[in-house]
Amino acid sequence: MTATVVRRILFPAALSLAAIGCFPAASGVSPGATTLRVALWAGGYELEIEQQVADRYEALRPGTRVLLESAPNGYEERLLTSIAAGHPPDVYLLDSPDIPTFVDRGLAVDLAPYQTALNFRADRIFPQVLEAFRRGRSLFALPKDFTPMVIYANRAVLAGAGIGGGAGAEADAWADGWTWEEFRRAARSATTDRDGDGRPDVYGFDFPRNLFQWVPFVWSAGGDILAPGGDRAAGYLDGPAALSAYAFLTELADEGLTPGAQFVQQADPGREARFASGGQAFLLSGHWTLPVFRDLVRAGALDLAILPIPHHASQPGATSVLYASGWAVPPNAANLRQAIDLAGFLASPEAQRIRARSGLAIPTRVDVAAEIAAADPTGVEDAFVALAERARMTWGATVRDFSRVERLAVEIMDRRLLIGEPLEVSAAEVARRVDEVLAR
Amino acid sequence: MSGAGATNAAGAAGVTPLVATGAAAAATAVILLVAADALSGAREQATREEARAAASLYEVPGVTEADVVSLLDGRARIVAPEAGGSGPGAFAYRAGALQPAAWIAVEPADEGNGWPWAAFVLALLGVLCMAAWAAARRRAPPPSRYPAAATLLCAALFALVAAAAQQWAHGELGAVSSARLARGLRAAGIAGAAGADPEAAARVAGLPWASGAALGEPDRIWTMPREAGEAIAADPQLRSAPRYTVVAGGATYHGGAVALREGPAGRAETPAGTLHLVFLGYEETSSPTVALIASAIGSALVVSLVLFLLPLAARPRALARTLAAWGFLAPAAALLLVFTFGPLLFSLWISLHDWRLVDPAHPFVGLENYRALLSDGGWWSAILNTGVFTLHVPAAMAVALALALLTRESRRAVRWARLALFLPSVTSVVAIAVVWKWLLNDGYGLANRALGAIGIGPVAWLTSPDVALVSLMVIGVWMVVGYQMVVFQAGLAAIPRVWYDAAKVDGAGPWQRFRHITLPGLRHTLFFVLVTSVIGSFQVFSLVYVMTEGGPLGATDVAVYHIYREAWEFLRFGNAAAMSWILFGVVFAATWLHFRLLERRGAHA
Repeated sequence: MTATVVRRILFPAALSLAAIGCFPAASGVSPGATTLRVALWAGGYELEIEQQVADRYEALRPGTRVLLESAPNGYEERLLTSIAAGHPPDVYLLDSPDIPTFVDRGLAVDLAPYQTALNFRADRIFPQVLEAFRRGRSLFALPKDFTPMVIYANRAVLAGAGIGGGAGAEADAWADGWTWEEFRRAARSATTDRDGDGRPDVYGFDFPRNLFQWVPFVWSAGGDILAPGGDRAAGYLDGPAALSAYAFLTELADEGLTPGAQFVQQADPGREARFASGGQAFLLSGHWTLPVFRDLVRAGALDLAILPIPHHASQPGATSVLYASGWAVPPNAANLRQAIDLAGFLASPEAQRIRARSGLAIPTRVDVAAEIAAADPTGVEDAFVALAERARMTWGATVRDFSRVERLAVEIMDRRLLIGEPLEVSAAEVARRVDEVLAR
Repeated sequence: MSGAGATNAAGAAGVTPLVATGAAAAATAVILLVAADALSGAREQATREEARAAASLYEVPGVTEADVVSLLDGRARIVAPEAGGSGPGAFAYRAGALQPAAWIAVEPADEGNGWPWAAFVLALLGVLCMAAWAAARRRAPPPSRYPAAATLLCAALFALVAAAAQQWAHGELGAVSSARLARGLRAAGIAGAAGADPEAAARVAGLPWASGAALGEPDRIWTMPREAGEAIAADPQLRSAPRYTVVAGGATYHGGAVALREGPAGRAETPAGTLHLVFLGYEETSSPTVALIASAIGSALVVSLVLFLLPLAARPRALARTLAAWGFLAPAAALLLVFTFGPLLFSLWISLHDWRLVDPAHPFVGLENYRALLSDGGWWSAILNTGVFTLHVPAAMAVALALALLTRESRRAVRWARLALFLPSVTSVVAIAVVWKWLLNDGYGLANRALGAIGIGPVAWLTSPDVALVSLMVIGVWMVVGYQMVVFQAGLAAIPRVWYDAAKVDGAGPWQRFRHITLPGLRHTLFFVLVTSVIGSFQVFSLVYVMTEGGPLGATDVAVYHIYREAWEFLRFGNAAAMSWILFGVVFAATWLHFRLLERRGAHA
C-alpha cells in the first residue's frame, strides 16, 4: 500500500513540482516584452516615487517593463559585482563620488551623442552639476538630482537663547553669509544646561567628523584639501586654511558646544531628532534631511532657517560642497539603445517633477527646480537653490579612489580630539599618506 | 569462492584494462574539449566585437557603407533592420539615433587552424600507458598504494595533456587576438580618415584603452593603464611603430598607432595627430589556463576513482555498498567542492594577481601582494587587535563553565535563566550590535546614565582608543557565553554521577571534585569550545562593522573588517585575498598549537 502511494501519487507529484520549478514563473508582461533593469539605492517612500516614474515610462513604451532593483545598503558592492559578473543593469544611478570609479574604467556609455534624440537640454541643467558628469565633450550620466550641504537652524532654539533679539531674527541676517565667529557665538549662546546637572541639554552644533561634512569649512577659509589637479595633498590638506578650519571645529568640540563625537562614518542617529526637538541649534546636512522635518514644519512644531556654511573672516563668503547623482548606462547593457532611452526619460523634466514629490533632493533642471521653489511657501527650497549657486562639486567626482582619501582624512581631527596630537602634526602625516594613495 | 563469484571476478578482471582505458580516454577528451571550447568562445566573441566595431563605424559621419563592408574584408552584409536578429551581427545606427538604421550581418572569420597534435599524441600515449598499467595490475594487483599510484599516474598524464592543449590554445588565441588588433586599428584608421575625433575613433575600434598623441594625458577619458602609457611613451621605437606589444604592470598589451586627419569644417576642433590604441592581451582575458588546470585535476580525480573502484568489480556487493556510500556522500561532497574548495582555490589564484573587481586586466604579480603586506602596518595592527580580541575566549569559557555548573538543576527558574542566557546566541548579531551601540553611547547611553546615577563619570565605551576594544570583548563574552554554557552542560551530563558520589565518600571537597573530576571529564568539551571559539573570534566582523567601523583611530580594526574594506571599499581584491590567506595561516597555526599543547598534556587523547 505504502509503495503504491509513493509510486502513484508522491513520485509523480514530486516530479511535477520539480518540473514546475524548472520553468520561469509567469509574469503579467506579454512574452515579447523587453525588461529593463534599473539599479538604484532608493528605499521606502523614495522607491514608491521611483516606481511611479517607471510606471509612467511603461505606459509611454508599451511592451517595455522596467524592473527597479534597489539596494539602499551596499549599493556600490552590488552594482560592481553585477558588472564584473557580466550581468549589469541596463541603467544605474551614479553617485558623484563614484564617477571616477565607473567613468575612468569605461563602465558608462558616453551619452553626449544622444542628447538630441533624448530631447536632453544641457543648457537647462545646473552647470556645476552637469560638469561633474562630463569629461571633455562626453557626458557619462544624465543628472538626476543634487544637494548642497547647508546649515539648518532651529529658530525656536535661537530665540530661546536670546540670539538676535528673539524669534531667531538674526538667522535672516545670516542667510547672506556669516563668519565663524558669529557661528561660534551663536552656538555658545544656544548651548545650555537647563536642569543644572552639569551636562548641556541643548547643544549649538554637532561635530562634523567626516570629510564630506568639513570640506566646505576648508573651502570657506580660502583653502582646499588637494592641489588644483587633484594629485597632491601636501601643502593643501595640511595648509594654513585647512588647519584653521580644523582648529575652529575642534575648538567647538573642546568648548563643549557639540555632543561627544562617535568617531564613525555613520552619522549620529540621534542628531536629527535632537535638532528637531530643540536639543540642538544648528545641523549640517543636505536636502535629504528636509523630508524628515517637513511634517513638523507644516504642523508648526519646527521653525527652520536654511543658512550657508559660515566662512572665515578673511573670506567674502562661503563655498559649500555639492553632491549629485545621475543616470548612467553600462556599455555592455543587454538592451543598450533602449537603456539609453530609459535613462533619458528618468532624467526628463516629467520624471523630475514626479520625483520632486519625495523632496529628497533638488531637481537638476533649473526650470523644474524653480517650479518647485515657487510652489514652496516656506522659502526653504528657494534657499537651497540659492546656496547651490555658491557651491562646488565634491573632489570625489574627479579624483579616483577618493574614498581612501576620505578614510585617511578623518584621522586629522580624530587624533587631535582623542590623543591630543597637534593638528599640524596629524595633518602633515595624513597628507603624506594621502599623497601615497594619489600616486598609485 | 563460489562458482558464480569466480566467474564474476574473472569477468571483472577482463574488463579492467578496457574500463581504465575508456575512462582515461574520456578524461583526456574532456581536457581537449575545454581548450577547444575556449577557442570557440574566443572566436565567437571576436565575431561579435567585429560586428559591434562595424556598427560603431557606421555611426561615424562621413563613413560609407562600403567602408564598413571593407573593414571586414567582405564578410559583412548590410541589410534593413527588420532582417536582423539571426546569426552574428549588430544593429547599426545613425549618429546619435536611438532607432536602428540597418543590420550588419557578419560571417565568422576563418582564422586559426591546425589541430593540437602534440596534445593528441600525448593523450594517446598516456591512454596506452594507462591500459598497459591496468593490464599489468590485473596480473599482480598490490592491494596497498594502488589508489595513490593510480592518482599520481593520472595526474602526470593529465598535466601533460593539459600543458599541450594550453600550448595549442595559446597559439590559436594569439592569432585571434592579432586579427582583432588589426581590425581595430583599421576601423580606427577609417574613422580617423573620415575626420572622427580621437575618442570617437577609439570607440569605433571597440578598444578599452586609447590615448591621443600625448600619451598618458590625464584629462582624457580614454586613457591607457598608466604603466602601459609610460612604457610606450618611454620607448621611441614603440611610439613610432604601427604595431607593437608591450608588457607593463604584469599584463601584456597589443597596440598600435593610427594617424588622424584634421576634422572637417564643423568639427574643425579635431586636430590631426596620432592615436595610440592598446588591447589587453588575450592572456589576461580569455586564457583557458584556469579551466585547463581545473579539468586536469577533475579528470585525474575521476579516473583514479574509477581505478579505485575497478578492483571491487569482482565483489559486486562490496561495489554496490561503496557506490551507495559515495552516492549518499556525493551531494555534500559536491557542495563542498563547489562552494568551499572552489572559492578557496580561486581566492588563492586572486591573491597572486593584481585583481580589482571591474578592471579587465588582472596581471599576475606572484607573491607581491604577500610581500606588500609585510610592510603594511595597518594590516598587522588589525591582526594584533584580532589577537587581543581573542583573549575574550578564555574569559567567556570560564563564565560559561561557571554558569553551566550553576544551572545544572532543572527547576523552573533555572530553566528560564538558561533560556535567557542562551538568547544572545540565537539573536542577529547586527541587532545586538545596534542595541549595544545605543546602550554604550557616550551622551545618552543607558550605561553612562546608570554610572551617573551612582556618581561615576561617563565612560567613552566606544569612542576611546583604550576602551573600545575592551567594550567589544565584553559584548563578545555576553554573546557566546550562552552557547558555550549549553555545550558545557552536555559535557557535564556525560560525567558519571557515581564519580562524584565516590569522591564525596572519600572526603573530597567541592574544589577537589571540580579539579579532579569535572575538569578532566570536560577536557574534550573544553578543547572543542576553545578551538571553535578562537576560530570564531578571529572571524569577528559584524560587531565591528556596525558599532565602531574599526575606530576610533583603528583601535578596533580587526582582520576580517580590514579585509572587507580592502576588497569592497578600495576594490583591491588581490590584497584582500592575500590577507585572507595570511589570516587562514594564523588561525591554522593557532589551532595546531592548541592541538599540540593539549596532546602534550595528554588532554586530547
